[in-house]
Amino acid sequence: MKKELVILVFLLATSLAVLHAEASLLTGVTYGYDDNIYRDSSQVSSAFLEESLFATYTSSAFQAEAFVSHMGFTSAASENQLLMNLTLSYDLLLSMQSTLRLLGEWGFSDYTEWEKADLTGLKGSFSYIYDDLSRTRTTLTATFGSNNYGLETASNSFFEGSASFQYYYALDDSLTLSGYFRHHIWEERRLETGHAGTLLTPSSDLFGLSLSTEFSLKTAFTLTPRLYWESQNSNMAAIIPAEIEPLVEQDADTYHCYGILIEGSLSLGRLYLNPAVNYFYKEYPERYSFLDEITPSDAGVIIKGWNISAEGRFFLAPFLATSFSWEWDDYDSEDYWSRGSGYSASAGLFLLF
Amino acid sequence: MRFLALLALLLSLTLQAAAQMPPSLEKRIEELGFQSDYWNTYIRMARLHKREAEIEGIITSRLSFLHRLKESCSSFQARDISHYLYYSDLGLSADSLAGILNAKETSDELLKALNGFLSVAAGYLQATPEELEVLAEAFALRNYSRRDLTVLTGLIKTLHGRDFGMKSESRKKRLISLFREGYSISFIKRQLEDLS
Repeated sequence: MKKELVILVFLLATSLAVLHAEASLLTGVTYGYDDNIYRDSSQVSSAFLEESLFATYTSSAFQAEAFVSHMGFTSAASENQLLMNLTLSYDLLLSMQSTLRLLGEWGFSDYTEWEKADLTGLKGSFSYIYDDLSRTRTTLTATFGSNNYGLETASNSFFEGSASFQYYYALDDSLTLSGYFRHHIWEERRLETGHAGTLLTPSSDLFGLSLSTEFSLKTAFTLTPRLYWESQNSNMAAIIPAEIEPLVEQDADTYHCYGILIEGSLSLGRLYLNPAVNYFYKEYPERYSFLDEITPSDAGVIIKGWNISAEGRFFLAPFLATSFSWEWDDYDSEDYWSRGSGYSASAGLFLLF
Repeated sequence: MRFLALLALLLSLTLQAAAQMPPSLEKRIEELGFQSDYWNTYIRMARLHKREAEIEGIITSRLSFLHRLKESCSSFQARDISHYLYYSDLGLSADSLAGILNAKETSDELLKALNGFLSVAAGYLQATPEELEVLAEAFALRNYSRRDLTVLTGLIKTLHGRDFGMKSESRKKRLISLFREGYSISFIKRQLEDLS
């Protein structure tokens, strides 16, 4: 099945590239090293080789994007992954100001060395975009989707409503306010509740807000700071994260989180650099904290996290580029399963057709 | 040490020789009052790419370009010849450039901004000389400023870096279409970002 899917996406992408001049194909090989992928509790560190293929097709109203990637770890084969994604979108122009955007997305990820550790995601959305052709743009989106795990009890479906408002207070400096609400239902999972073991389908409600601004400095540098806040109310008694780890099921998925992300974008000649710094504070008030692997402590888990990353490309020729990326994460927590720090570094070569 | 000094001398002599203009052309440039250091670039590039035989043709065509530009443009400045020649290298016609110089208040900043904009259009979006003409004409006719060009130049570079230039063709078509119609730069910016 997996091989067939790979072949299907590959054939689709190749056909698009061959058939039309407005299609592009990007293929690359990346070699890198991940240290402590899943924080201190896993101690997984390994070099990896990633082969990836991206394809895009764009006409005036229609866009298609396909992506296939395989990551093979040299000393932690259990982490080997296959990722695939196909996104189709169509813009229906109601007028110059108003657009109805239809988007469909299919995604598949699989830890290839594990029998049932795969995830298939399907998503469809309708967006209404109103642009005043000058300083403002408003977007309203309704999204329906489902995530189907090999481990069926984690499968879920969701509905999301979101709104964003973008205001250009200067020619190239904008302010964006976004709000979203997401409702998740875990279809295959049953939560025992109340007297006599009454069964309930667990669900989660997530609400988030973000405020970002963009500053441009001449033609070379753009800075985008973003403040965000997210709060989820969930009656899930236990979660099984897609990545298998942690082995201990943590209680309760209710959380509150806020943070700041500062992202830069630098273009200097053939060099493109995209550095980012993120700090967040996340609290699971109803979750048990663990002093070590098996000793629970007081209720409540707090994680203070830093993510610092930089991604860059150097164009050797219009069709050939080297890429490099570096990421460092540090999670400070009293909880054994949540704390730790790690890094990932990689470099690759990409060819554009 | 002596060897290094000798090497430096030889290198300096070689570069000087490489940058020499054929006397007949030099005389013609002087007569027309089109002196500029930029002419040496043609000599160096022609020798580097072993196209010395084409030097006379290239320089003659650039002289015609400058001559035509001077005739059609009252704000022609000898000190800006290097800018003008660069536009000619990109494939822009003298009439298009004259259209811009006559329509806008010419300044060194404007010439640099236009230079950057047309360069990224040609280099990152692979715009043909005909498409550059369309962009130049739209800039001359519409109410766009130097700042607008700077914003678009930065955006095109960023988007190209972000997606390896995978959507250059669509980006170029959308830019030309909206720029020609005179839409606001912030709207064009949002439309180009939608392609990312």
